[in-house]
Formats: sequence, C-alpha cells, structure tokens
Amino acid sequence: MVQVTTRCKTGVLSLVILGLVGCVNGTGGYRPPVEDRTGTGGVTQSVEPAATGVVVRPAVTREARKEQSVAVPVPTLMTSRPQSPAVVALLDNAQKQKKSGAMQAAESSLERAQRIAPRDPEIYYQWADIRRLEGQWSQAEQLALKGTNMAIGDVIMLRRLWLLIADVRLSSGNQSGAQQAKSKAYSY
Amino acid sequence: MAKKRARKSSRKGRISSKPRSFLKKILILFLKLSLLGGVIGGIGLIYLDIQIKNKFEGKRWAVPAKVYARPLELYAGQVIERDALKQELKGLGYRFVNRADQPGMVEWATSRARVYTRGFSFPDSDEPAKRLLLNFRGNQLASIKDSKGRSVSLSRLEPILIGGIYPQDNEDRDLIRLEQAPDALIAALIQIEDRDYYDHFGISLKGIARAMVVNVKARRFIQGGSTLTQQLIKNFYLTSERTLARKLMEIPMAILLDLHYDKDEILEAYLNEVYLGQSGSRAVHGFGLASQYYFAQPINELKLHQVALLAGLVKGPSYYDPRRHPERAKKRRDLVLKVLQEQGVISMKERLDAEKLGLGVVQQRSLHKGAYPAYLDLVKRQLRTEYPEHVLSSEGLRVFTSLDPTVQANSSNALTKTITSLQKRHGKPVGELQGGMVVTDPQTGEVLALVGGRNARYQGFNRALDALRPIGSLVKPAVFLSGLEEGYTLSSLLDDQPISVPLPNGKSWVPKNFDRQSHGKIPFYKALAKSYNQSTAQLGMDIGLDRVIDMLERLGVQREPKPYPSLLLGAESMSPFEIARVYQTIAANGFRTPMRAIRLVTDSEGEELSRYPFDVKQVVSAENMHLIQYALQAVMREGTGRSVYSRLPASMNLAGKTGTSNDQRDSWFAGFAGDRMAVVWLGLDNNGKLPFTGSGGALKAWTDLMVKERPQSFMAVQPEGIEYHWVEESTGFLSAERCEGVRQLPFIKGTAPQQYAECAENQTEESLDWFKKWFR
Repeated sequence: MVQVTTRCKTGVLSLVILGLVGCVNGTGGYRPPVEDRTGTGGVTQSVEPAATGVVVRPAVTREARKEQSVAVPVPTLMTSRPQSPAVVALLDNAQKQKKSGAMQAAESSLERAQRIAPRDPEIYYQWADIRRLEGQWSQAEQLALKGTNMAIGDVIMLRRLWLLIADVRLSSGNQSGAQQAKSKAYSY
Repeated sequence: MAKKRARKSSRKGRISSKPRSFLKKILILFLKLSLLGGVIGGIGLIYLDIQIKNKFEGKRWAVPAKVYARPLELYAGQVIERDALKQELKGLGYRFVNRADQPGMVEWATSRARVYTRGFSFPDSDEPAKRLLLNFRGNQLASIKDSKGRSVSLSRLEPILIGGIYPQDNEDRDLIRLEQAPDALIAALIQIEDRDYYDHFGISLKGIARAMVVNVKARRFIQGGSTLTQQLIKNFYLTSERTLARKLMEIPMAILLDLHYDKDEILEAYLNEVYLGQSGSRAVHGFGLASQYYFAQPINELKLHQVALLAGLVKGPSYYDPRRHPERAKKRRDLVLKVLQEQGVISMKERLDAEKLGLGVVQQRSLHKGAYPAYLDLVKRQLRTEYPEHVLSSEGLRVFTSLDPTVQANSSNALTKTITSLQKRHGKPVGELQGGMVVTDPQTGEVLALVGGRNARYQGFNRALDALRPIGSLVKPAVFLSGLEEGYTLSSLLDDQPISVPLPNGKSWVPKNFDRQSHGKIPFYKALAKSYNQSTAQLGMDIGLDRVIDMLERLGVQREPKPYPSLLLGAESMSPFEIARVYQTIAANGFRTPMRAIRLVTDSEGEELSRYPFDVKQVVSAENMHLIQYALQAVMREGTGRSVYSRLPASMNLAGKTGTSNDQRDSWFAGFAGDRMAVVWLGLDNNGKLPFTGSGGALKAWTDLMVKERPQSFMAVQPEGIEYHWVEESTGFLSAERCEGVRQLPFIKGTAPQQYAECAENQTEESLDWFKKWFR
C-alpha cells in the first residue's frame, strides 16, 4: 500500500486513476464516503464537514461469517452536528457574562453547555479564554488542548484553538512553545 | 459600767415590748426571705431570659445543609424518555391534573405535556415559574413553548432534594416563613391547639383551669392545657416528659418568650419546630418538612384535606401516623375539619368535599430524600474536608450535586436485578452476593450515580467507595498503553507462552491463562481483547513495572501501587471509585478530570461558597489513546465483553474491559459508551469464591444499565497522527483488504509495519500489471 501511495504522487493522471481503485490514504482533498453505523443502519454519508472516528464491527456470527471473514474496523467520519439553540443561547450568555467580567456566571453557563454538548469545541475555546483572562495559564492551555481533541476535522476551530494556545504560552513566558503553537495554527 | 447599765436597760426595754418585737421579727424575716426569693427569682428569671433569647435566636436558624440532585435541563432536541420525565416530576411532587393552572402541576398526554414549573433560585440565575408546553417526538423533546406560544430554547426544572446533613440529634427541618403556611393551617392550629393564642400572654389561665378539671376527674395527669407558646418551649428546650416540674418551668419561660417576641414570630418558630413524625432515626420537625415527608409537596401547595391532616398530627405524630394508622389519622383529620367548619373558618361544603378525599400520603419509598445514601456519603466526605461539622448541620447550606436520579435508579435496579438472577442461577454460594457501582459522564467527569450495595437505600458499608478488591484484568489497559508508548503497535506480535518470573523471596511468579492454554504468537490488540494473562505478563515484564505504575498514576490512581510482577494482572486492590478514575481518563481521550459529585455549595442566601471547577490535564497522547480505545472496542466486539451485543444494538460502539481477580473472588467490568462510563464490582463481603467471572457477573449488570440508559454511541475521534493499514494478523505484516486473515488497524504515523505479506506483494504486482496495461 505504501508503494501504491508513493506512486499516487507521480502525476495527476495516476492520482485520478488510483483514486478510482481506492487509494484511501491519499493526503489530498479526497475523502471516501464511508459507513457510519451509529446512524439509521448503514446509510452512506457525505464527507463534509467531518471529524473522523472509528467503528469496530461486532464479533462475527456464523451467519455473518459468510460475508465477512474477520471483524474489521472501519474508519468513520463523524458528521458534526449543528449546535442546538440551547447551546447557542448558553454560549451567547457566557460570552456576555465574560465581557462584563462575571467570570463565575460565565463558567456556570459553559458548564451547562458542556453537559448538553460535551463535544462542542467552542465550549472549550471559551472556557480556555476565561482561564486565560484569569491568568490560569496551565488550565487555559489544557482546556484548549481538550478543544483541539474535539475539533478534529474542523480546521477553522483548530486554528483558533492553536492561536489561543500560542497566546497563552506567550503570556506565561513560553516563547518557543508559543511559536510552535502558532506554526501549528497556520498549518491548517 | 455605764455601758453595762445601758445594756441592761436596753434588755429591760426589749422585754417590755415582746409581742411587738416578735411581729417585727417575723416581718423582717419575711422581708428578708422575700428579698432573697426576689433576688433568687430575679436571677433565675434573668437566667431563663438569657437562655430563651439565646436559644430562640440560635434555634431559629439551625438548619441542616440541603443536598440537591442535578436540575433536569429541558431543551428542544433533547433525548429524554417520557417515563423518566414523568418520574422526575413525580419526584418533585408535581400533581398530574387535567388543567395545570398553578405551579407544581402538570397536564400529561401521549405526545405532549404542559408543565407549570415552580421556579427555583439557582446560584447562577433565577429560574422563574413558567408554564411550558413540551412536545415529544418519539423519545425526543421536539419543542418547548411558553404560555404565549414562543419557543423556549432552554429551561430548568427545580432540583430534587436528595438529603441533608444532620446534627448529632438527628433533627431535620425545612424552614418556612409564616406567609408560606396556608391560612387553613394557621386557623386549624389555633382552633385545635390554642384558641386564645392571640390574646393570652404566653400561658392561658383558662386553658390550665380546663386541664385541671380534666386531670382531677381522671385522677391523673392527662391534659396539659398548653398554649402554642408552651408547646414551643417544650419542643425547644425540654423533654416530652409530662411532669409537674416541667410544667412549672414552662410557665415562666412561656411568659418571657411572649414578652420578648411578637405572636407571629413565635408562631413561625412553632411551625418550624413542632415534632411531626419519625423517618427512621431522623426526627421530622416543622410543617415545611412534614409537608414533604407526607405529601412530597411544598407546604404552600397543600390542599385543605392535607393541611387538616398535618394540623391533626400535632397531638400525636406516632399515634396518628397516617402511614401506619390511616384509620386513626382520617378520624383525626375529619375532626379538625369539623372544628374548622364549626368555627366558621370553612364552609360545610368545603368540609364535606375534603372529608371525601383520601389521605393523599405518598409512600415513603417513593421519596427521594434519603434514597441515595451511597451518593450522599461521597458528597459528605468531600464536604467534611472543607467545612466543619456544625456548619454543615446548622447553617442551611445548599449543596448542588451532579446526581442524576434516573441514572441512579437504573444503576441500582441493574445491580439488584443482576444479583438476584445470579443467585437464582448459582444458589447458596452467592447467597450473600454484593456489589458496587460508579457511573460518570466521561466528558464532564461528573459522578451521575453511585451504588454502595444491593440494597441501595440501606445506609451501610459503601462498597463503591470502600470495598478494596484486587482489580484483576481491569489493570491491563494500563499495561498495554505503556506498551504502546514504548513502541509496540496494535499488530505487534506478543508471545503468549508460559512465563516464570523469579521473586525476591526465592519463589516464582507463573501466571496462567484463564483457559489454561497458551496461544502462541498473537497480535497485541487481541491479547487485550481476549484478556490473555501470559502475553500480558510477557509484555509487562518487557516494558518494566515502573512504566506501568507511572501509567496507572497518570490515568488517575492515587495510591502507590506495589511494584510486584503480579501488579500486571491486577493484584493491586482498589475500590470501584478508584478504578473508575482510570477508565474515566481513557473514555475522555486521555484527558484526566477529577470525578466530581459536587458542583457548587452556597450559603442559605444563595451566595457561592465553593465551586468544583472542570479541570483537565492531558496525560496520554491522543494517538495512543486512539489505539487503546480501538483495542477496548475489540474487547466488546469480539473479546471477553462480546455478550453485550446480544442485548445492545450492533450500531452502538462500546469500549471496556472485564476483570476477574485471582481465584475468582471478584467480578469486575469497566467500560463506556459516548456519554456514560460505568464500573461494576460484584463479590462477597467475606471474600469468598464466585462461580462466575467478570463477563459472567459484573458485565451483566453493566449491560443491563446500558440497555436502560440507551447511551450515545462511542465515537473515537481519529487524531491527525493516526493512519489505518491492512495487516496480516498471523505475521503482523502489511497486507491488503482482499487478502485472507487481514485486519485494518490504526497506527501512529510512521509506525506501520515495514514488511509486506506475501499476498499483498502479489496484489501490488497485480495492480501494477493492471496499471501498466491501462497505459499500453
């Protein structure tokens, strides 16, 4: 497969052709449609916008064995869900509370939002920003890192989070770390 | 001489005035005694006065801390079982009616519900009372509208009160203000207990005279003729013993109390102080608490028949206990109603309507207060590290926890049900089978439920926190994670062969597999999925115990594990709560978060005292976490945890690990879905052997919980540094999808196998042939 992948880079024509035969490891913009078995039963989904996840298939039953010889994992794309109005309202509140200096209230709003949508990276971004404003550098960075873990596939959010990390590191006197974070931000 | 004479003459003089002087003497003595009596009485009165003032002021505010469950958030798009919402509303004492026109009422229909919330003053903001129309679609809340038809994005119900922190004397009360008490209650108390209340000066001479007549007739002390003020004194400072001495003390105290405080203040104190029942070892004081204890409703929502019952209870809470003696209680209640009608407080129609109604008392078992001793234990332990006992038991603090009553109910039911069915199957050897359970939300780290034993309401040994038992194979993910950090990959071949590790005492450690077989060369991920001991021991000894200990500590273990080789197979003892920290970190993609039961503590006025913030620390790289999560999913799909899929849909991704201690004395399971992480332990308190393993016991309770919870599927995010490759399992070489015996596995970029399996090489050549032909 590595050899095939190397050849992917040899020319435009070969890229197209190899794409046709299933070169799934290509680093270009192409992403294959994949199975998401957490949905309504194996519906093929489109690929935008997405963060990737993994599904391991169930233990192979005797019936299933005819079609599938081993339990095979399938890389899955997670479709990012639109924010619910509840989360939007809470994030909005948090933003206002933060601006007015009511940090505890802002934090309470974020906690509520997190309980509803714990995978929403925006929550961690705002939380990290509160910690930054409070001068808690280490927690600010950790919360932002947690955000990057939730934002995989969302390049805009990843860039914002890494820029925030750069900012935090700079404020805490970690110049080289800040530079690394900045480069990371601009790699998206 | 002159002096002598003078004395004599004086003696003469006295003798001559003997009768007068005697009277004078008596008079002086009387005056002296009066003065002495006055001084002693005065001192006594001053003493009593100070006592009364101190106690009255102090007593009025001695309120145990209140502990609340999480408030239920309601928002459009929320996945919620209708039944769970119904239970929540019942737990809050909502009345199910045809028309919800007052707070605390709900109209319930198949696809919609109209809830008139009571509102609650949360520490972050006030949630006003609202009329909400909830529309359901399946098990989803499709929309929420307010009374004007506008969409409501988010609303909170009041939190269920789950308990309190009581002082030594075990008194419990919910303070109410006089205005909160229904008018009928005040009227009933005055009519039944003390008709002259607003006219007397603390004691009622009329009342005492009436009582004396009764007592003389009966030739014993049966009636006290106490005013409400005297009853308050009795409840405040004295024993309930009916002695004359006590009565005599009561009188001056009642007069003093009446002198210092106005009637309404005294009445308010009475409402909060009077003894109205016994809940186990806890004394139910005051009408605020009694209202909750008997009706699960706030006092201001009580109806006439309920109010009359409570007023009637004052005479004898035990004798008229509506749960134990409903007949007596009804008679007494109807008597109160009769008096109210005769005195013109209520109409005849109101009386007759009320008499027709049942007692309306809720079953004690349905009350949430006191229903979660194990969880409260956890909360108290945390609070006691920060607050002195007297502050907790008297300052009226409000403690907001993350306990989810629905998850808690599902957890304790799952545990009890599993234990019962295991007992049916295995009989006597597991007659005393016990268990413990911890459930968290993996992303927030909040503890949602805690079960301390098979009888979840029993306040005893809290196994979830205190049962220290060998964790068995639950330790393996830490061993394998260390292996991954040391350069192993999921396809690395481990040697599942007998191993013998010499120990310092001259003996050897020779672990065996559960099936007593050796499995030869097996892929890394499979060794974990199948929980093979020999290959785990080989791996652990290769990377070193220090690395494993370091990993356990990073993942959240706070005790220092002993560096014996047997640690690799889980000889270290931990409580379910301790091991939950480890799996919590794994479920949260390597971000360690303290497991929090308390969200916030405020004082009685709602001022924030302490907060337990969400705190994270990345302790394992996202890439290595991804790999171990893959292997833990394989446990569930094809390893020792696969039986879950006989009861859960294949579309639900789950990850976890079974654990069985040496000699099969402990049955463990720890695992997670998208929004639930749970650890279950089953075993015997006497450490006896079990006739089942982790998958035969604890996993069943875990599965049962997940079936009820219907959690979100676990979605492992694929970090940027991860790529997937097809690998031949028997050799660990790169291969291709079409080849036999292959599997697609994740690898950290740059760590994929370098060599190709024979089949893959052929296929590559075939592909190239085809490629060449295309251009020919």
